[in-house]
Amino acid sequence: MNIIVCIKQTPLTDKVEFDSNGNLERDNIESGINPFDEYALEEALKIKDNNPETVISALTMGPPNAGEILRYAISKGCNDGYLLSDILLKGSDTLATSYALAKAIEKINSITKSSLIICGMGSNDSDTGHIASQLAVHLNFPNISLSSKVLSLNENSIILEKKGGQNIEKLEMELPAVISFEKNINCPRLASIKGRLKSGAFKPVIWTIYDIDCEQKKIGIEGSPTFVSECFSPAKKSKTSSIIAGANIEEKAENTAKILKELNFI
Amino acid sequence: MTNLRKNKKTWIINICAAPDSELSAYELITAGREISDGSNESLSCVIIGHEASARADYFFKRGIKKIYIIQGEIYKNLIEEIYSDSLAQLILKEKPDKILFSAAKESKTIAARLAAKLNIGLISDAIKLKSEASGKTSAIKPTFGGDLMAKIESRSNIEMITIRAGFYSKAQLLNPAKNGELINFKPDLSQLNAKIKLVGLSPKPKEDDEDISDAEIVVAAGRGIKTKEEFEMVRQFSDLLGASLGITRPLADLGFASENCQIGITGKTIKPKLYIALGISGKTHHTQGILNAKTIVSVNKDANAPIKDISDYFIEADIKEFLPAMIKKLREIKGMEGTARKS
Ligand SMILES: Cc1cc2nc3c(=O)[nH]c(=O)nc-3n(C[C@H](O)[C@H](O)[C@H](O)COP(=O)(O)OP(=O)(O)OC[C@H]3O[C@@H](n4cnc5c(N)ncnc54)[C@H](O)[C@@H]3O)c2cc1C
Repeated sequence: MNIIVCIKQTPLTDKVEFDSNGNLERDNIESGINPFDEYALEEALKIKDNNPETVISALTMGPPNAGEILRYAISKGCNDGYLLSDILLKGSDTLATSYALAKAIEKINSITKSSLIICGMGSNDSDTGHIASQLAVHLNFPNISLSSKVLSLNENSIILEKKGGQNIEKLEMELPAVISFEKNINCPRLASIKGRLKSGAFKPVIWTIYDIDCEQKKIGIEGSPTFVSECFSPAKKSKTSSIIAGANIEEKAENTAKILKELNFI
Repeated sequence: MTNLRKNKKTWIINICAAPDSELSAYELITAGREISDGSNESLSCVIIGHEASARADYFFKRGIKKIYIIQGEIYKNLIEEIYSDSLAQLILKEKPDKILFSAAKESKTIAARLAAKLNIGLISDAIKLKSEASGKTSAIKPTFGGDLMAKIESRSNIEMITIRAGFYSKAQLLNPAKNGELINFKPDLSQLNAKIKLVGLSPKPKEDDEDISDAEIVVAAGRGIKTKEEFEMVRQFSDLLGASLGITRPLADLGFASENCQIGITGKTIKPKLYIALGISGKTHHTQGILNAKTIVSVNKDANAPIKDISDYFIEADIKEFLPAMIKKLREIKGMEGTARKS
């Protein structure tokens, strides 16, 4: 069985910094694989553990250096990696991104058919969670989002667990299909030494938009119905705080209790 | 501006089977009112679900005059395809201008599918809407985990926006609309080739921790709490204040309490009267969730912790010493000195 896992390079947002004008300092941002994709990747690797003949391709759309997260995916056990990278894709919103990814998937499928397209539940930078559902529409595949577990899998169908509204649902879906997985559902493995060695020599397949047979009016800024018209730093609600002091810890506690009492909380 | 807003149809979509869908709907009503022209015709509601019509009254009672109902067995489970196909048919028929959804992840996936199907833009996770001079609506959303705010607009004729919970107040009860209109819509699902079927169902285990979104007092613990014993003290302190317990993400990741109690951009947004931060540094990701807290008290051993800048009261202290002293003090006040601790 062939599986495509869609992953994204995102900034490690804990480290985002702004210059004196409040603009994002993009140069200093360290990037890595979107943490939510780790769980999706792990689910694909678990399928491969049980069926060693499984071929997993990692696919990403991003800047040229996004090849690094493909290398990371290879080190974990993916078989190959595809990077869709083109300046014309810049400014793509989720509709345009999912369209371009769908075109890349169709291209991979024209070589070998994949049964499963796997995504994370969303990304930690833009945080939309749209891509899996939208990919499914473009590909005309069925789709289950936010699955928490693979219960069984054969050539034609997959049974998944999903924590729905009030219930835990077991859903059977015909293949090929698109799935997104929830976060924190497994413990993503570390790369093996063998995997790391293999990834050293890895070179991703790099495609531009001319390789994927897409309509240019559906990608990039032109193909994106939504756009960012302004960016700003969040208003910091700055307060001058009163310090609750005390000669020792008992006094501090006592003074804290006093204030809570004044405020009518005790 | 109001002229351009006139005659625009704004819809709010209520997906019954999505968790929290009832409460979020009340916030959507407020958001919808803000961007519509205030006329009775402009704001309608679509309720989709197994027994959707049972909810109609909730909305009539909050001043909505026109409600579309899409209901049946088939909506019992949240199969996106069925929901988005049904909604797409109603949208194509009635052609609303603006559609608001909750940004709960279950609603978002349905909205995403719907947007792709209709080939229109979808703005996600707005925390604030604004009416532009053009008659369009722009949405403010946090990105980079809250470190940056983006204003996003849509060029599509139909503007679709999902809205995060906790940023709009809930619509209040009004005198129910007298001539409320209920419209049943039966989508044609014969074209749907069901490639997904339900093969089993089990009840979701009850979450052990309560929902903190509406709590009046929240005591929250951060990485300054390092052991189970210290966390137990946090619980005792919280119990003594009759507070609900919250945590930062690192503590959720470490499994100190369920993810349900996580406060912040990827957790809950809360608006308590009192918020007490214990060993929390005050990273934007976390503080975005407490913007609407009325009084903030923080305890930190670092006198320069960023949380201080948003606190009304700050106590420089080590949690390991502060909590036992505080628990003792509260017990004294409550006349429970020496009594067995509440479990
Ligand atoms: C995409 C993304 C989303 C995120 N979403 C969230 C979210 O929703 N919610 C969230 O909380 N975080 C979130 N985070 C994580 C966030 O960036 C911070 O890492 C986190 O909020 C820090 O938690 P903390 O304050 O508990 O820990 P720290 O930042 O480690 O702070 C611990 C504090 O405790 C103090 N301290 C230590 N020991 C003691 C002691 N003995 N006594 C008193 N004080 C002590 C320290 O001085 C310090 O100020 C997110 C991160 C990313 C990348």
